Amino acid sequence: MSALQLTQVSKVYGSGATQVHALREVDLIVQPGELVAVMGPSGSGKSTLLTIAGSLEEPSGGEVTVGGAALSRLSRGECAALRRRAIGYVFQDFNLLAGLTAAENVSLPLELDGTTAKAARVAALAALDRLGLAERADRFPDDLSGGERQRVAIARAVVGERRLLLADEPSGALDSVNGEAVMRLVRETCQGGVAGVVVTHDAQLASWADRVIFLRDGRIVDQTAQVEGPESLLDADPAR
Amino acid sequence: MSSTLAPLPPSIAAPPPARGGAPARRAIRRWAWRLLRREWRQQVLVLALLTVAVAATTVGLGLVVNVQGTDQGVFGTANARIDIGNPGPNGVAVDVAAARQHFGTVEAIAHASVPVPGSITPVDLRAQDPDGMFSKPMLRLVSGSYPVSPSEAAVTTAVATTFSLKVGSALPVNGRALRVVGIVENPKDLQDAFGLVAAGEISSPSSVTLLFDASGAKVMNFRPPAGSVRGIMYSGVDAAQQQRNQALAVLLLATIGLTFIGLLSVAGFTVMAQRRLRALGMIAAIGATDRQVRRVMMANGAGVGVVGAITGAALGLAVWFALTPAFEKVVGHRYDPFALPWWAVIAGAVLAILTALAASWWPARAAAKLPIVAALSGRPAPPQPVHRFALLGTVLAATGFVALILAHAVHTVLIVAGILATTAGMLLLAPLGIRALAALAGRAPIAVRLALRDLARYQARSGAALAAASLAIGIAATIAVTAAAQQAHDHTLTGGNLPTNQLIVWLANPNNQGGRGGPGLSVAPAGGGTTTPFAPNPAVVASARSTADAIAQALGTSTRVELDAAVDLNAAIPAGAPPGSGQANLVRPITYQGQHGFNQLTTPYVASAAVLGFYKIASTDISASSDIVTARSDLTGSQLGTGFGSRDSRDFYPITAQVAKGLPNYTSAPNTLITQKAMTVNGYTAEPVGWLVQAKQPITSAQITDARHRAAAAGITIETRTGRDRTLQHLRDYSTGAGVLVALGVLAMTVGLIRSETAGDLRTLAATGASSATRRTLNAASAAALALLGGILGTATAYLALIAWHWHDISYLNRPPYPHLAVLILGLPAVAAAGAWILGRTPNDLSRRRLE
Repeated sequence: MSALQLTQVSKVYGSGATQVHALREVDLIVQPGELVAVMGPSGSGKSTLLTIAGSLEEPSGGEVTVGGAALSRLSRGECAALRRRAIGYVFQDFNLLAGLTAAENVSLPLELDGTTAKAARVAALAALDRLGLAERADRFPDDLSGGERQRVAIARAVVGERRLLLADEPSGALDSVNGEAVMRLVRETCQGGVAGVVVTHDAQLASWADRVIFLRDGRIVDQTAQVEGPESLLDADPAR
Repeated sequence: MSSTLAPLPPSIAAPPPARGGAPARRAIRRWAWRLLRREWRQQVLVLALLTVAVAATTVGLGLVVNVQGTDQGVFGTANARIDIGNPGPNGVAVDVAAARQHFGTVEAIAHASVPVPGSITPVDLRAQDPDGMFSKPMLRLVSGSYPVSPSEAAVTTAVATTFSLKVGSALPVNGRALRVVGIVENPKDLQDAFGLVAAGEISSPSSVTLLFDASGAKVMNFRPPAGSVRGIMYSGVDAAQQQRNQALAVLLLATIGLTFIGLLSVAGFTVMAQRRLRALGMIAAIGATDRQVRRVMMANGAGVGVVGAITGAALGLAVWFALTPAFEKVVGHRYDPFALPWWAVIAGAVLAILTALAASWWPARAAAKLPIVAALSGRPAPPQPVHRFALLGTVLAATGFVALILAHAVHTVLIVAGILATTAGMLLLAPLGIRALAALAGRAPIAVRLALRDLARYQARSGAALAAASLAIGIAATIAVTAAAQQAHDHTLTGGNLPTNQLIVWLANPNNQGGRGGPGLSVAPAGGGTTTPFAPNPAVVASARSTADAIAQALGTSTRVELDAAVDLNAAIPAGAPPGSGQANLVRPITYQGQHGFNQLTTPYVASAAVLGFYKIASTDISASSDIVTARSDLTGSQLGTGFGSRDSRDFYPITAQVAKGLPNYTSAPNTLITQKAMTVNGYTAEPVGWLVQAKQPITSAQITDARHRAAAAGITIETRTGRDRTLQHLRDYSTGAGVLVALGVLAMTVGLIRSETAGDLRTLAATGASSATRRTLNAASAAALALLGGILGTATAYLALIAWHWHDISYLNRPPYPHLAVLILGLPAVAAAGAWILGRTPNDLSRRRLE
């Protein structure tokens, strides 16, 4: 079963003279453990594809399934539950709640889903530890650097049993070093079985992906085959 | 670093819409509380206005239930009172004995009048027992002691001021000097000015008050054998009505107060919701349900409501207790400060919390319904089409209008429903006004254009704020218009009053004209009848005129108009006429009422050139056939003549009355003039009776005292306006000021936040070379536009409600308080614009906003 499947997905904004086709009959399948990079010029529909895949907005046509669940058949509440449990979203500008500590930001999806605060904190600390932020768990976002904030955002996106990681320009607000580090984390996360879709402008960062698709005017105009990215150099498994 | 995640579980394919239960609620509450703590500065205006609103409601409730004094100021603990006039030296004992036989236990209070030099109003001297069986609550010793001997007296503070008395001074009473031994008051009626002597120390009272307990029918059957009944009052007749009025007033106050709190909170929370839009979008993106998103805002609303309600109630109670002495002067009687409607105070605080909670629900709902992507981008929801709101608003306003008409000012449910519907109608019409202004923005300068369009763009918050400001203005306008109408009504009923900057110097005391009232001539037969026709006394007139000039000079004005009365010098006073009959030479118009009664006007003056010039009436404007020119419209069919003389009292002749709008409506002032034609045809003579003095500014108490002293020295009197009139004037002033201040507070909150939301525009403007003046103009235009709309909408709504309220006597409202309305409609925008210009500055942080 694919982690994410888009079938003939279209998205139209506005109507009449102001009508804009953001996506036109896009087909995309992402398997568990696969990392897909989406590239394209501004206005090509990259972010729209991501928000539709993440159930943040509904397509005008076509079907989206996440883990076998057709989003069109889910209510708003069920979509929200899906985002709490299966979909992790990483924003370009971090989108951390300034009033919550790093650990509380990470545990928020779990607590919203009914996990007790104690259990959620344990899970959050584990996620932060995996990303090397255990010691910064009780800091507020204002006290963290840009790279640290994005790592907290990634921790929040993968905490629990998420199956799909969607990242919209996750390194857009970071310098090249931190940008590479973030992509490495995303790659490592996907190696654990999570399907990932990353929107990026940067070809070098896209090279971390298993596959790169190119969007133009709402259509997939090209895509690469699965390639060995730079992370393969770090992989101890000689089979890869 | 690597992670190992389990394969996708089948449950994901159809996830239940779990709501998160207690852990989720706890997480939401935690975040909301942290937001409240972090953003208290942004919420301080909402919190402050909420606090002030609750405090004002608390104080208002206290005032409302205490403003109406009990009957004890008039009855003491008795339930009936009869005032007997002219009992005669021996009649008191006879009348009291008769009353005791009729009613049982009776307490008698004898009265005598003490003339006040230079004033038309005498002081009431009472012989009253401080421990009287019924009257004990009507007396309170402020300082010193009660009089016990025949040579002692006590006075109220007002009387002490009038006579410049203090404890130990001498009070002149009919040639005797009574030593003042104490300062007293009627605690149930602080306006009650009187002197007090020991019980039984007035040998020849001018009237007697009898207090007793009796049934209404028994009271009505009593006839004193010696004196004549001046008044019969029965306590409890109005008690039930008073209770209903109080309950209605409390209900109205609570309704209006909570509506205001609600509107204010909606405006504040809408702003907060917009500020947090991206954060709300983010938690929705990570899986928060709509309900959880709503709860973030509603938890904030509850927090603000609780803090505001507790702080406001505490502040209100502190103000209430601290200012009790001042409030007692306002309501006119002493009261127990703990006699508050505690249930209403607590209910008000609780309702304030619920109102804040409910007010946060609407923006919370709007934020939860906003598409997540739009929320994440921070874009406000597109404004709702205004025509639907306008249609509903019109329907509601019309419904409220009809409900208030049908309420006849007594049906509580209809009144509350009418006020709520009218207010809701105003709220819904507010966006239409904003959109109309924005539509007009196209031809305005860039800064004004941008400001007006931003108001429309942020319609949700500007509309709610506009409604709150409109409500504040509407309340102020309602009070000002009602006070003005009441003033005009009082003038019509009681003979009215002078403007604050006018006084009249009377040649003789107008209250001593044989019971007729009105102006007096320079001489009058002193005791006994006479057949001598009236003869003017030039020396007395010259002295009085000189005094009037001196008073005018002391007031810094040269505006002094001589008032002449028409006198029939040929009218002989018949033998046996009572003292003071000389005043019967005065010509007066009368209006017959029914078969037997007639109404005699008290202020007919001659339409001299000076008077006509003062009121800017050209002589050519007076019809050649007119006998009188008057401000009154009820003199058609009047007749003209004197009370005695060559004509019988029934020998008045019909006159032609011409209504002139330029004349004042005050009876003391020249509201009715006898034309030169009537003077000539009837052979009347013009004789001075007084002088109208007009100062440039309202006359102060000190100036009035000075004028009274000058008049007393000359043996004449002055007349100025009375206390109630001044109180109503103050009420208009204070309500207007308070309305402007509250509206400015609401505008400050709204404009400041809207402008901070549009910091990006400021950055763009700055980058394109806009000066500081442009940025300040943005603020000023936003504030002025909202203030102007608020003034117009609030005043229009106030008039809508008042017209409905007075539907059955619409003429009640025909005296609009133009200066106050001008302040509300024009002054407020000017002040708001100036304040926004001065205080407007570029926000320090023009960079990307962080997620809250």
